[in-house]
Amino acid sequence: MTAMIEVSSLAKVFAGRGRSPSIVALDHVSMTQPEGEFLAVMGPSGCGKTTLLNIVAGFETPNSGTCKVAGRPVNGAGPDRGVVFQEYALFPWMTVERNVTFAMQAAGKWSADSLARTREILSRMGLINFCSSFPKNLSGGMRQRVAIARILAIDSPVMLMDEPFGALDALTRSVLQRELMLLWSETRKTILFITHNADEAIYLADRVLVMTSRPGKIVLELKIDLPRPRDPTSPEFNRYKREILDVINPTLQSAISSLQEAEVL
Amino acid sequence: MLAVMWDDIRSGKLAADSWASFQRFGAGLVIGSILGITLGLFMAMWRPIDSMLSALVQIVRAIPPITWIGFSILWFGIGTKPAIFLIALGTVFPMLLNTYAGVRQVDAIYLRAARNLGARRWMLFKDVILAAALPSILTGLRVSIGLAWILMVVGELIAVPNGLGSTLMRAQDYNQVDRMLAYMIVIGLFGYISDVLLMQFSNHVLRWQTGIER
Repeated sequence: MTAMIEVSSLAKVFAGRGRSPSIVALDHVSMTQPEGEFLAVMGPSGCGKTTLLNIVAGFETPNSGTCKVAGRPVNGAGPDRGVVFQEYALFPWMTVERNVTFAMQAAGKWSADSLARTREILSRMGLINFCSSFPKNLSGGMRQRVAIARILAIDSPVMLMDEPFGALDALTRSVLQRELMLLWSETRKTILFITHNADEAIYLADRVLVMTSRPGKIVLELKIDLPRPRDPTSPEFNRYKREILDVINPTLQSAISSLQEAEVL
Repeated sequence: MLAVMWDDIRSGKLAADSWASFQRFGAGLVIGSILGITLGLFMAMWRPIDSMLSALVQIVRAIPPITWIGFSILWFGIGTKPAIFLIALGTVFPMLLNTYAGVRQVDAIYLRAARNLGARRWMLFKDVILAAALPSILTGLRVSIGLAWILMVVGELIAVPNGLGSTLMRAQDYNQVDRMLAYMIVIGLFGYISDVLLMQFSNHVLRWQTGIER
């Protein structure tokens, strides 16, 4: 399989302002994601996982290192890497349908049958009765469905998902996880999925990269060899989970004690 | 007073005055709004233009429009033009400041999402920046409409032969208390009607907005 995303020795430092110290968000991170893979990057908040996604998306530039998508160096944001944001980022002044058609027009993918295609995608996502609703009238789960529909409409080969279900309640989250899993099985898009939730990562991904913070680096790579749909209560599932938590918990503990030393807590 | 009002309605004087005033009001408001929105957009989106103009804008804004009466007669002579100039001058600043604030407050996540979807300059401007700034621009328009009615009357202090303000001033000179009152009420009603129409328009255009339920 060919590599879709290639990140090599990526470093990003956020300069401190005033008294706050500068933060090493990414400390020479390297990873390769083959085409069609569902890759989850998991870690506690502040580990640089979102920074990694932002660099791949072209929202931020690294201090050093390279990032290539489909063989070309990333230069700015573009519709070949559709992003699903945690805060949905739907345009509140557009109806559900307009949010999707706008995406197609912006991506330069507007054609005669686009409206029919929009309807098709919206019914696929269970939104057909909400075409003329505004985002304010939708629940969080529905909003995120629209955001996913928007990326399906522009048919990005790479989908970047930044904690997309982080703001949802547990029940809605598991419904959307299942839908996303089915969607990926159908489309086989290359998905880079950021999460702080180990269950979510193991449930969805072919492979999980675990990151720790300060400096942000990848400390564990885990291939999930379980057939889908996966059962989060099964012993195999929990073996993977333990492996991840064993890596994360000690670093969390040391982070807490260093905060205590600094008399922050 | 009602008798005077009825007479003026029947003779067509009220309609003629209203129409003359309304034209000045409309022309001044349109000129002031277009100028204010354009300047506001440019200043909000390009820092060099902002730093070039912001001091000038604030200085001119601090000068009450009424004090320009002398210059407006010098420049435009006597008649309709100075009144339009005063209205445009008074409305340009609320439009400018509200447009500016609206654009500056556009949430960065919308710009990020739009760029990610591939939106280029024109779409980014029209469908994202302008759409997001619209609530603020319409607030500016509401303030401007109020100011425009006031300035319309002030502008008609300068010798113009007709118009609501002009007739009102002449009624004052001749001590026609009934007519004064009648015309004051008419001006108030026009102000109210224009505000109601604008609010209906706003509520429709901004129906996507979340607000407190009442």
